[in-house]
Amino acid sequence: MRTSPVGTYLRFLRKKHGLSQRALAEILGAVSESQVSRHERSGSLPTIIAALSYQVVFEKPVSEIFPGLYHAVEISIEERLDERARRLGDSATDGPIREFIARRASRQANPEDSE
Amino acid sequence: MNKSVPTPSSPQIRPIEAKDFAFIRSLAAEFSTFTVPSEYLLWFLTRFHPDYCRVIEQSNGNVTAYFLAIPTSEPRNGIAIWQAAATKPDHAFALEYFAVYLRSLVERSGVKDVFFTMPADSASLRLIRSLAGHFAECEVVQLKSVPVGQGEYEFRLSIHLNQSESG
Repeated sequence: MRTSPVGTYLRFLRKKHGLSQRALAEILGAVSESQVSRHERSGSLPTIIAALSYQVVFEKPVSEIFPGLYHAVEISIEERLDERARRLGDSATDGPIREFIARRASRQANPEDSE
Repeated sequence: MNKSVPTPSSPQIRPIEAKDFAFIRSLAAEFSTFTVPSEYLLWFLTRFHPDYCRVIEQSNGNVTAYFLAIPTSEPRNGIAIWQAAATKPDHAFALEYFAVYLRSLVERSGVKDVFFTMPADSASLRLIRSLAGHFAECEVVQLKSVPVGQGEYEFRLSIHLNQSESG
């Protein structure tokens, strides 16, 4: 095997459902065949309408359909929160952020308490 | 440190070439639990196991991730992943791309088990468990600790593809 576009879970899902890119685009309506192709090879990010359309069609949350993107966002936010927590002071904006970080940490430590 | 989420750029996955060795060695050196592979070892792996060694190259030509694995003889029909790494912030994307590649490798080679080692509390393990469920509908099983330090454990994915899923 030589150089080839990367594969993604979206492409895997479409094939698992036996759909061509054209057929999937027809079902989605708001997404063209070429856009499906670009989303499948990480050529562009889906719009919120496209992402939700994929969720409806495949009956899976967007976070599962785009696992790499979801975890990249998750890691980015967690790192930003860690950094922000280290810089917390006494300013007016720091109070709500401090409370948010504390509530989030509590939920993560005791996930059953939040259900 | 760049913490932004990467913008997709139609990355490619391709075999490792000699020009990639410096990148691989440099990236491996960033991880405390990684052994930095010598150029000879990289040549050896890519010469005799080319399908098991891949890099991710962005459309601008930058290489951002690599994957080194070998087939196993005990058990037969297995793959042992030695190293998989990516530059920040491409890490999560790279794991998804490598998972797809690994699945295609499994389909072609009839592999049943995939092995890798990492710390049990690694953040990456959560994503790997998620990807294993997505692509192979299997769980990641934690095995024994690696006896040579580094605080790593051995993990196994047992893959049993339905006939209709492969090909």
